[in-house]
Amino acid sequence: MMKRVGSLMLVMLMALALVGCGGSKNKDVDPADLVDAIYNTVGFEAEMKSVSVDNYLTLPEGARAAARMSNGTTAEEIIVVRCANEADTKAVKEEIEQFLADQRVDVERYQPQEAARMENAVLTQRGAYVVLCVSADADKVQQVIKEHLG
Amino acid sequence: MRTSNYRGSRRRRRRRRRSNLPQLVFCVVILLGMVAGLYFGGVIGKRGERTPPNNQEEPANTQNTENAQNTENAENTGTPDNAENTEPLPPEVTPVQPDDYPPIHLEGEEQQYDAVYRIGDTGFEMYTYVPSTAEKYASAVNKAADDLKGKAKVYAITVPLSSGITLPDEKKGGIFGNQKGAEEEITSMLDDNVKVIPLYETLMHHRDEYIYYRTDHHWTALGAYYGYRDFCQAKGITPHELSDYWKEEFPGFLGSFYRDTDKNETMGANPDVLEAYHPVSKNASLDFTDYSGQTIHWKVIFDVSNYDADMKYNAFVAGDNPYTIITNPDVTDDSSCVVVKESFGNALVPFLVDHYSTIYMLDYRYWDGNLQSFVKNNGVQDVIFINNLSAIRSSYLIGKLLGIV
Repeated sequence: MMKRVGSLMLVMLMALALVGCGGSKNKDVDPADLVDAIYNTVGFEAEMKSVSVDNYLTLPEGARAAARMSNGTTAEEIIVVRCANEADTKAVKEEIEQFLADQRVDVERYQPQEAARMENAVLTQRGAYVVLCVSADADKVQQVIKEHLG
Repeated sequence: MRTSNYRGSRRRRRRRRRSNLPQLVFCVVILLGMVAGLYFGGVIGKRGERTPPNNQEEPANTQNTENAQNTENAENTGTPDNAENTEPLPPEVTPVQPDDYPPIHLEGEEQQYDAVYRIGDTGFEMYTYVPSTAEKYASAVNKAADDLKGKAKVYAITVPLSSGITLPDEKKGGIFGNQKGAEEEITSMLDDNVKVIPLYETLMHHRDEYIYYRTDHHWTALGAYYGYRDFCQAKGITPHELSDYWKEEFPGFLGSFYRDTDKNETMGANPDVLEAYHPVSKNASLDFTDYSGQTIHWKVIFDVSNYDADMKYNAFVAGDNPYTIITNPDVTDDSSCVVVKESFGNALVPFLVDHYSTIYMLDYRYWDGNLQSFVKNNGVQDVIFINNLSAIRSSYLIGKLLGIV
């Protein structure tokens, strides 16, 4: 009897472990923390100020976001959006792609020296997160994202 | 008769049944655990779609894929490829009556590029009205007007593109949008405490004149002059006549459309002439603060004869800088205005020089202060937003504008 109880408990423990593994890869990373992590790790040429993401993007309900943008001297920027659920990330990514296309028009006309930096923009989705970063070091950006979001 | 053997076999059967139970429970629990793991991991069910692993590592595709597809489809057919417009076209309140406007005829080889359409030696920017950014633009202007109520008058000048004005009528719509309707939608969202100065009608009545460049997306100084006249009417002041100004010409201007059309030969063979009208006052001076924070003394109209072909537009007010101040000692009433602009404003500001003691120019793309604080701290009387329709549809630019109000 005790053996059976013990086996059953062991089995339940294994099942719980499986549930844990099948959950979201992302810890609950605050978007502002990830923005700061990227900002502090990756070098940026311009002064990067915190801005309201709502000025630039229309986000789905329940999304949290943070951003830093260049003071205008470069095209550098960091935007992190944490959606309420992963299903919303597709729409957010499309919105950011349009934002980048709009930015590209202005940059090509008035800051052509920044066009190359924009070519190496990092736009990625990890679970419920969508991250955009325009910088001089895309590899380092990817590394920071991987460290925080998996 | 049942024997002990029978009883034993019954016990054995019971033991076998009992002994199967743990294994059954094990399998069920494992199965449940796997299903739960897959569900909460978002791999199945309503909570998520599987994310293709390739997508996660690619840099952004910043190309306008819709226009790229249209470029492939057009291929010198001579007909604009009417891209599917995902946004509803704003309604036209007043039907276009081509007979009221000077006729436009334009001939030549036609070709569509990423965001530009060429007819012969003339480029036209493709345009789509974006309701969300238009609403944000209006909210920015309205906020400034609300915050400055009783302290400064707020004006909003919306400038159509050449594709809304000098493009032949039979080609309008489709990939060029409905800029008349767009302007009406945008201006309808501005509050009563904003003095609205739409320019579509005025520019249409002058569309057979040289009011837009062929090789560049900007309007010319002449086009800006007509905008200035409408501003004067709105403000209740008398504009100078064009003949009052000394006009200087800088030939050989090949602007943004020339680059966007892969330096088309036909365009290159017929560059624009940049005409600049000097303020009537000879004593105005200009200083601008550049990106590095350095303040530089300059001229309202600068001689760009020796500038590269694509840089001639910098003749106007030293080009695009975060902050520019123009003072005119010949205007002694201490009047002042702030012009909130992107580059279309550069061609209009020289005409304002004769009407204000001080003009502050803020290029909201590069200036990161607060407009309302600036106006209050400097005792400014007028705030003039000069924004073209292409900027008003850009989520990037309107985001920048919202950042300063």
